[in-house]
Amino acid sequence: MMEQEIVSKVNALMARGFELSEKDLVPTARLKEDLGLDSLDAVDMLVHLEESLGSRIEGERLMQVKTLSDVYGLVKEAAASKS
Amino acid sequence: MKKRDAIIIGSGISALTCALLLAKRGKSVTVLEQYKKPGGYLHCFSRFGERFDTGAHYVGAMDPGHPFHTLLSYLGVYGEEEFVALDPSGFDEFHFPEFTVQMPKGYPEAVARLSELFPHEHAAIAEFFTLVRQAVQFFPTYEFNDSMQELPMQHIFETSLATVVRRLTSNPRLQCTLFAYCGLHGVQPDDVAFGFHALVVDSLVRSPYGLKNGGDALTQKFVRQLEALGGEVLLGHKVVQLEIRDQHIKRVVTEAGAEFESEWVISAIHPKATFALCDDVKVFSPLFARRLEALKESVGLFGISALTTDTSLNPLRNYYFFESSDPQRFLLAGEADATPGVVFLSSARRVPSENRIQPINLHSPAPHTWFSQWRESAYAKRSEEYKSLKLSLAENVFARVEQYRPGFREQVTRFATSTPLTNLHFNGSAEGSAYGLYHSIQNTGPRAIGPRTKVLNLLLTGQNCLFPGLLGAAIAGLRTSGHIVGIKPVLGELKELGANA
Ligand SMILES: Cc1cc2nc3c(=O)[nH]c(=O)nc-3n(C[C@H](O)[C@H](O)[C@H](O)COP(=O)(O)OP(=O)(O)OC[C@H]3O[C@@H](n4cnc5c(N)ncnc54)[C@H](O)[C@@H]3O)c2cc1C
Repeated sequence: MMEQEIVSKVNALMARGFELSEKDLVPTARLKEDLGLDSLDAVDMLVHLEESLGSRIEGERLMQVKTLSDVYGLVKEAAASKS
Repeated sequence: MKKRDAIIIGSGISALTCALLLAKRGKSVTVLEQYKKPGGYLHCFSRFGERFDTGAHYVGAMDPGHPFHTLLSYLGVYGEEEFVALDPSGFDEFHFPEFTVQMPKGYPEAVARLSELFPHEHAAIAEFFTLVRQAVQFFPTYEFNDSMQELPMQHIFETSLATVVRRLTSNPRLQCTLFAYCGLHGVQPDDVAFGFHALVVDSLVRSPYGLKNGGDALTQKFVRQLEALGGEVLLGHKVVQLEIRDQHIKRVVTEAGAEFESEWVISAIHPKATFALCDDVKVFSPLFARRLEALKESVGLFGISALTTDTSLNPLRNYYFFESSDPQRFLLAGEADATPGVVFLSSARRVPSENRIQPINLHSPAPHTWFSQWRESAYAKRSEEYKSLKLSLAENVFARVEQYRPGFREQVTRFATSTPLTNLHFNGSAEGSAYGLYHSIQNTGPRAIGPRTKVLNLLLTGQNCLFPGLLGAAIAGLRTSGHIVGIKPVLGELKELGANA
C-alpha cells in the first residue's frame, strides 16, 4: 500500500470511528492528549485495522503508539508483512 | 437509597466468584438475577426422576493444589463431597472412524498414550504438551503468579492453535486429536489463540473431575458464603436499564422498577446486552458500536437428557463421537437434517450405581439459525413443527453414536431435548450460545472486550466477554474483581493457599 493510501485510510477510520475532525488529523497529533483517545479506543482501532488489512498487528506495539504517524508506520509494516 | 459498593448483573459462576472476592475484601455487594434461581449455566433440572446439568459436565484443575481447587477453596465454596475424579486411565474417549483415543490424566501419560497411537509423531506430541504447559504460565490468574513482571504473554494470543499444531505435525489424525477440545470453547482451530486453548487442555490433563451433585449444589455454596459475608442475591431482578451520567452509571433499574445505586457495576451478561441497557450511547465511539454489532456468537448446542440401560458406558468417562478425521471438517455442525459432525456424551450421575438405568447427556453443535423461526414463540408452547425438528435432531444424534456403539439407540428408554432457544429462554445468552461470544483471537487477550469499558464504573466479566467454561468464567470473575480491590494481594494469597494444599 502506498504511503498516501495508508494515511487516507487511517484518517478516514479515525474521523468516522471516533467522530474526529479531519483537520485535527495531522501526523504529529498525539492520540491521547490531542485526539482524546484511550487504550480501549486503541484496541478497537487495532481490531478494525487488522480486519481490513487481513493481517495482524502485534498487540503490544499498538499499545505503545503515541502519535498518528506511529499508527501509519504500524499499518505500513503490517501491510508489507502480508505481501 | 442505600448505596452499595458493587451491583453485579447476573448470577452465573463468574458473577458469584466476583461477588465473593469483593465481599471477602469488605465490599457490600448485591447480585441481581433475572431468573427465579441463581447460577446461570450451573442450573440443574429434573427429568424422569433424575437430575441433569445444563452446563456443568466436567471441569479440570481440581486436584488439591491445582488452580480451580485452590480458587474454590479460597472462596470457601469447595466441598470434597461435590466432586468426583474422572477415570485417570481415560477420562475422555475420542472416537474417529479409523481410530480411538483415550486421554489419560497426567502429562507424561498423555504423551505416552498418544505416542503409542502415533509412534512416528512422538517428538511433535511431546512438544505440543510442553508448549501447553509453557503457555499457561503466562496466565497470572490461573497459575496465581503475583510477581507478574510484565510477562511477554502477547505472542500466545497472536498465534492460532492450528498454526502451532500444523508446524508440529502434518498427520491429519494427530491434528484432529489435538484439536478435539475446541468443542469445549466452540472456536475453530484456525481462530482460537493457542494460549486460550492451552488453558482448557492443561486443566483437563492435570486433573479432570465430574460434579457429583450437579451445578446447583455449587451455586448454593456460593450464595450461602456470600450471604455470610453480608452480600445478597436478589432473584427475579431483571436489569432493564443503566442510567448513565458523566460517563458513570448513576442507577441500575430492574423490570419491576426497583432502582439501585452503587460505586461499581459489574455486568456478567453479554456485552451486547450490557451496552443495550445503557441509556446514553454517546459514551461509546461509532467504531466500538460497529465492533459490537459485528461480534459473532459461539455455537449453540442441541442437548438430550436420556436414560439408558447401556451398562457398559463408564460414568467416569466422557465420549466424543466424530464423523470424520479430516481436520478441516471434523468440528463443523453440519446440516440440520444430517447426522451431526460430533456428539459429546457424558454421565449425568457420575457415581456408579447398582441401578441398571443410567442418566446421560448428549450434546451436538446446533447453530441458532436452525431454530430462528420459533424464536418469538413462547417456551413450552412451540409448534408441532419445532417438536418434530427436535425429534429428528435427536435421532441424528443417536445415529452418530450408533455408528460406534451398535445397539445404543435401542438401549435409550426415555429422552428429552433442549435447543439454543431453551438457553435463550432461561439464560438470555445471545443466540442461546453455549460459550458466550466467539472467542477468536480478535476477541481475546489484548483484544478482549472488557473488563474495562468506556463507562468508568462499569466492568464486564464472565464467559460472555472473557473466558468460557466454569473455570474460565470463574477466572474472569477473579480478573474483574482485581480492577476494584487490586489483583496482586489476592493472587499472593491464592498462590500461598495452592502451595500449602
Ligand atoms: C450445554 C452446555 C454445556 C456446557 N458444558 C460445560 C462443561 O462440561 N464444563 C464447563 O466447564 N463448562 C461448560 N459449559 C460452559 C459453562 O457452563 C459456562 O462457561 C459458565 O457457566 C458461564 O458462566 P457465566 O457466569 O459467564 O455466565 P452464565 O452462567 O451464562 O450467567 C449469566 C446470568 O445472567 C443472567 N442474566 C441475563 N440477563 C440478565 C439481566 N438483564 N438481568 C439480570 N440477570 C441477567 C442469566 O439469567 C444468568 O443467570 C457448558 C455450557 C453449556 C450451555
